Amino acid sequence: MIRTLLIATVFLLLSVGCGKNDSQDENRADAQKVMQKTKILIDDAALLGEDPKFMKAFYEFNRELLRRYDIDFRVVTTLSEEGIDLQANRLFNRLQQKSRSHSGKALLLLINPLQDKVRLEVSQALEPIYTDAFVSYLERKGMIPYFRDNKVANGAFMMMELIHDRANDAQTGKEFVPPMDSRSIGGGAKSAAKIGEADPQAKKGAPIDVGSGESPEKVLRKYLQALETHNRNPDLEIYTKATRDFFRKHTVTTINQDNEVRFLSPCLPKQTTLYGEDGEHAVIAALPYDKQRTCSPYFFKKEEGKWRLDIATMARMLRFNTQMAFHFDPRERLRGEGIYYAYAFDGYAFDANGYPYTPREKMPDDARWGFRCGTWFYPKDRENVKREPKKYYRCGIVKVWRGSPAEVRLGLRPGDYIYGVGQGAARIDNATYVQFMDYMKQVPSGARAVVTVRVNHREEIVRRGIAP
Amino acid sequence: MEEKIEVGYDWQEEKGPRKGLYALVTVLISVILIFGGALWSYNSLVSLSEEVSAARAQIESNIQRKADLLPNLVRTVKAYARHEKKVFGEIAALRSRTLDNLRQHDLKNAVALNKALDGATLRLLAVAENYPDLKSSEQFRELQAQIEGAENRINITRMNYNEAVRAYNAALRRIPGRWIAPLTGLKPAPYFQADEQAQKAMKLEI
Repeated sequence: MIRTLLIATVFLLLSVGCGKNDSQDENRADAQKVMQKTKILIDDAALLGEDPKFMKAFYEFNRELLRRYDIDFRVVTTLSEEGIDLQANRLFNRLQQKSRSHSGKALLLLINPLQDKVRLEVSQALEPIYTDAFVSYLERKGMIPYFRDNKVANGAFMMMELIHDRANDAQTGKEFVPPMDSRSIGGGAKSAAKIGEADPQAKKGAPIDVGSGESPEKVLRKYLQALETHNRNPDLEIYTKATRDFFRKHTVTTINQDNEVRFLSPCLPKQTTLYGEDGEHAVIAALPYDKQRTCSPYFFKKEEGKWRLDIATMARMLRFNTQMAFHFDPRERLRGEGIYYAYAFDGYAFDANGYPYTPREKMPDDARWGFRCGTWFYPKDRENVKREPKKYYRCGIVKVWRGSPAEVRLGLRPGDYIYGVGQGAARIDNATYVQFMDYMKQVPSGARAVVTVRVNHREEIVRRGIAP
Repeated sequence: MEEKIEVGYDWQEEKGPRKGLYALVTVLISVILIFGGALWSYNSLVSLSEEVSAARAQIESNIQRKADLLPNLVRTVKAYARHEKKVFGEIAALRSRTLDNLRQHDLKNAVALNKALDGATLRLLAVAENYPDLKSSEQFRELQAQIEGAENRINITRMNYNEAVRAYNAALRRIPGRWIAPLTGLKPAPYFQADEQAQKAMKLEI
């Protein structure tokens, strides 16, 4: 009996163990497998790649489209020789036999590289929202520019985003019709896909100059003008060098530009310019951030004595949710050039997803950085610390006021053990409590403060920030 | 000892009337079933016939939609290519005849005319290829998308119509439909087939 029980337990443990490994493997390719299984994404032409990050983002956005607007959006790539119009209709009606929508709202994006055609098939229930002309416009202006740059997956994702934006507008205007069966009677539009066919007009536009004395506000207005005139020239003087490199590689569509105009224009009257202590960086923002979530901050850097728009850094750090509210990518906010713009967020804390908010508790007025140290020492220095505490006590961060420069600019957190300060020749390893506090008091305003911390006495992280 | 014999109720006499009742009930149930079945079958045929009518109406409305879009397209192209009078005239004439046929619910001729109109529209779009400003104009592209969309809808609704006719005609040929149909006047519906002779005739007349 006991022997049987033992064998059964071992068997059970082994099964659970194997299952766990399988589910761990499944989690890694989860999004893609789920989409293929539920036929949200059928990539017969192998155009969309297998980047797990992209697949996950695609799946989550697709789910959001279904959850928020009850729209069942699918993507199919095919190498069929059948006419794309009939094939799209037939495929649509077949896939919609198991529709994910409860109100007949469905769309199918069919991409055929063999015929170099793409078609968005629209269900009856969505025809008033996605008219043929509008779909054709989305395809030509929003998606095909990506196809021409051989970024088919990005193009499909952009189409999904544009569909979402339109659905959002329509819902506000209550344009959705009552529920009906999910079928298509031929609504939609097709276009030549032009995959890999470079567009000679893609990076064209008149040059825009910047004067030495021009303020960041003036540069921003010139940028707005460039957006309104669909100027896609990447080498405009209003951009930093990094931004010009970024635009040379990045696909920009007229729809992207029109959307940015739509969101930027109403924010202009609400904006304030915040200059960094170093005099080389500026942020134009609509304050307070937590009440103006759809007004993205704009970053400026002085190059060759002129203010220029640093969109490359913005693209790396800022994200937008489905309601176009901005937030930071928490991993990118204090990386690279990001530290030079952090000052503009003093007084704001960030939640786990990078959304800024005003904390309830403010740091003391007389504090510079807004942190409190506890003390720690190496076990071997137990006796020494009693005799010469200043030489052997070290700082461990026990409190950081939310929204303080310690958090916002330097990224210090409770639990950080201070191991070193400074960099290069001026670096102090194994900094004592006194050395650390002196460093933090004396680092000049606008200069770069560098602090090496260890988390849980294991992982060493270098935190950099501009001193207030 | 005398045996008491009980004389029971002479049920033989009662058998006749009870047997008749059962027969009556059986006949009644059979009649109800047959009548119910016939009614159900008739209702199904009517539903299928209505689907054929609805599909036919869809084709008419899509041809109408395309005809309504054409003047805008012609106007847009005319702004750039006034001298291309032949193709404008052709489209105007075909459109007018298509609308006439739609008004008279002569769908067969309307579809044939639509096919000819399709050819003329393609020639008009080919004219636009020679004018890059026209070709790149957003208004032209939108019209082109709408007309292509209308044409696609005509094709799809024709397929749907033929599907509806198939289902209806098959029901008429099956039992009990084939018994019900002559009593109710329901007749098979014609399929939509390309009538090439009719299309040639349309072209020559123009």
